[in-house]
Amino acid sequence: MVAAPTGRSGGRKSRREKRLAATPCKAVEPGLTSGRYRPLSDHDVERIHQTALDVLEKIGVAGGTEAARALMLSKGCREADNGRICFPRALVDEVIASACHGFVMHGRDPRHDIELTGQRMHFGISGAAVTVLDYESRDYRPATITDLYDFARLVDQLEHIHRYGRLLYATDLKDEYEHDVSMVYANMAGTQKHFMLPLNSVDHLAPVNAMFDMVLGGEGKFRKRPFGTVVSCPIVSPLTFGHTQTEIAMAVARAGTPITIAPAPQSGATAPAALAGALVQTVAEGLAIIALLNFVNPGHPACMVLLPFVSDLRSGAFTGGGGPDR
Amino acid sequence: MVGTTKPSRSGGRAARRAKRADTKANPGGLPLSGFRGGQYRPLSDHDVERIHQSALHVLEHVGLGVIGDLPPGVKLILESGGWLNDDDRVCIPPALVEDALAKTRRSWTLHGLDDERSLDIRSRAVHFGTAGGAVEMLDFETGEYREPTIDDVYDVTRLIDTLDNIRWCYRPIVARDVETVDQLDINTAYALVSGTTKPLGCSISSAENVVKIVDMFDMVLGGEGRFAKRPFCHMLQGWGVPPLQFADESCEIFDTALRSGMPIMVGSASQAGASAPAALAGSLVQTVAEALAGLVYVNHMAPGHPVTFGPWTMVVDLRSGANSGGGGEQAVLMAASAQMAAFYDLPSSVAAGMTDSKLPDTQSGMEKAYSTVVAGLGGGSMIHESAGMHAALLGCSYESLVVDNDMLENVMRIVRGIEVSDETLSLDAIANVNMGGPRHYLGHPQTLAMMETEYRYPRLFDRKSPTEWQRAGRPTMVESARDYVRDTLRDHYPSHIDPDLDARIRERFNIVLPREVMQAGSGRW
Repeated sequence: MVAAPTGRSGGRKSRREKRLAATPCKAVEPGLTSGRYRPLSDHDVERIHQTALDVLEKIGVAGGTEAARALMLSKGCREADNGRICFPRALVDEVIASACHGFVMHGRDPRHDIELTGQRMHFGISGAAVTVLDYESRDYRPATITDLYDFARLVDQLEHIHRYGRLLYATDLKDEYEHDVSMVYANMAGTQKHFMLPLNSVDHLAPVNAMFDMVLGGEGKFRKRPFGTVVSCPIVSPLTFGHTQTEIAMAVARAGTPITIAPAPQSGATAPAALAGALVQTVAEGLAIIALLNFVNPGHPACMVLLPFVSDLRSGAFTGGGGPDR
Repeated sequence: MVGTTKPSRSGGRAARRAKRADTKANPGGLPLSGFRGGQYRPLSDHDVERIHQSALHVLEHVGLGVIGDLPPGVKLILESGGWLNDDDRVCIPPALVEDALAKTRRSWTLHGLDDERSLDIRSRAVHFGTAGGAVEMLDFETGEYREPTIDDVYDVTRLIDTLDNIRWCYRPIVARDVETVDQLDINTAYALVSGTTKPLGCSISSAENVVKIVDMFDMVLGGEGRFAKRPFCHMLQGWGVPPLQFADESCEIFDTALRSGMPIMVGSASQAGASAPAALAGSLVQTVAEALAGLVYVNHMAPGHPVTFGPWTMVVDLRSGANSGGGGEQAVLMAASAQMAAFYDLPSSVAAGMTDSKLPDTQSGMEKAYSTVVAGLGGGSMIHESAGMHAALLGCSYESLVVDNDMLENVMRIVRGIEVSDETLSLDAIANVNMGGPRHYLGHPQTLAMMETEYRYPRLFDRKSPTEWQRAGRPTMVESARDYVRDTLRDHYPSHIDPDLDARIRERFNIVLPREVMQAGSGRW
């Protein structure tokens, strides 16, 4: 039964008490099995997959670091006359078959462990908004590292957000190293949930891992219980390996900690305008990255996030081409 | 390109109208056959079968009670193989249900007065429209809830007349300023038929009024018996009272509608935890049983009558007993109802968009969006209550009709899904762009060709950057909707009923909606 309404006059203390008294939700739980909505028929899924394989085999992927290119060629990729790296279908099929198909994203608190298997479903957040809606003035203003910490603390208390990722980019930290270690620190200090780790340079990986080991109480401990996942997208759409993120992804694969990869082309700009075509390209990009990770470390735990984004094609409010390598 | 036009807030009324006219010519518009839903299947095939079998069991072994005298259709059921059990409940064997399922119409046309607005009603062909019975109207000027008037019914109808994604106008509000129930029925029908050429829907409170309203509709079509040939109005009319009871008074109205050829939803609106089991599966069993009983009834009274299968399980907040249609439970139940109808290959009627919020706000946006999405993806044929409603169907808002129209366009886009073909798989475009091409798709012939067919552009939803948005004075969607409502209602007075016919209708029926409010310059809006 609902208590007599205390209304808006109840004050902070009574609001807090009311919240604490509320029964935890028993009707839903993290990791519910999903997949009852299938926007594509089995036949169409197969066609998109086959066309993505066509793209990888016949069009291939441009760019990449020397180390990445050499590795891919040594594992069975082919360099086309135009310099693009092409993936034979059999090679991609082999990668898919031997890739990691499920792993646990640990929380600092094991209550927040997320089991990524089958069609279990979790909600998470992440982003890099440079402005934040100010709580007091209600106006947008540049985001700061303090906001990142506050957001993490808030999400820590929101039961239906299962996994954290910073939503904001701390614009007050100009130095990229200072930014990355502070962002990671803010995540860790603010929430016991598993969180995403977007990094600006491969050089930041070791210090960040060292910080995590300190927190867990000894060298090598983070590797055993990685409560953060590096999120990195080596591909700059369309179909081009970048430099910085390729280095980061390969280093993470070598270190053996989980990674989330997220090709995010914009349909009509960096992917075809046809929705099916945008999917084809995004899937091809995702598979190319999964292949690279598995070439470095077979069976590497990776979460493939495919983000074919839509933008308003009338406004043309985005820059052409691949954009900067982030 | 809209990007080159002036910002809407400074553009004034003329600019806003021009902009609307521009977006109206969207060639990605909706087919009257409806997009095909059913991609979301909340229940496994096995569970669908179990619910069906349990419903058959309920009909045979629990049966239905009767309130009042045995209705004519029930007598026929008893003559053809049904029986009364020791508790005087009407038991219906599976054979009668199978027979009714076999003979029920699989498709029919819900006509509009304008035939270009007629809808193809069949299993999994998804259309959205209104329904309701709100007894409170959010006043456009004061922002306070007040009793709806017959003028509101007319105004809401002509507003819906302009909103493309609301495919029929079932009266969403009940006028409270007319003196008698008879006047209410007649004037509501008059306001609807005068306000739009879309298909209509109404609730009618007596058998006599069904006859009178069909007379009025016959006059509109130009002669007796025409409505039965071209029914442009449907009813959500129960034949009983849940749980599992026929009611003679409801059946009398129901029977008259069947005789008049008026398409009708066959089903019930049972409340889980009150007039149906609290277990979601159990509530589905009961409402499916009730809807199947209705089909058996129709099959005895008017075989082949145009019907939709409408097992409406409504959710109440079990702590308070209040209707609460906005939750996830309600959404998944309606999708499951649509799935059960699809299992029988029957056109369905479900309800979605029933927010509990009192205002067009964050809560209403969320509740309306997820419930209409799953109802559409679930394959509901006629998705009722999908625009304008608030406060668990107690309230209605002009602004929300406009906001929800934009929402429904997005929902329809989701239901339409992704076409996969050699052309859309885009292998050539990907090759052109990446191998010696510009490395982006902007301006590519495929991009230009698909701007309007693959993508839709919202009328109200804001896509500005934070900076542009602050510079534009922080516009909100509700403010844009208010502009639309005022502009539209100030001068959109449908004139498909000519003055002579109108005069004859007014001569024959007690029309209280003043002629003066039905023309521009009346001082309203």
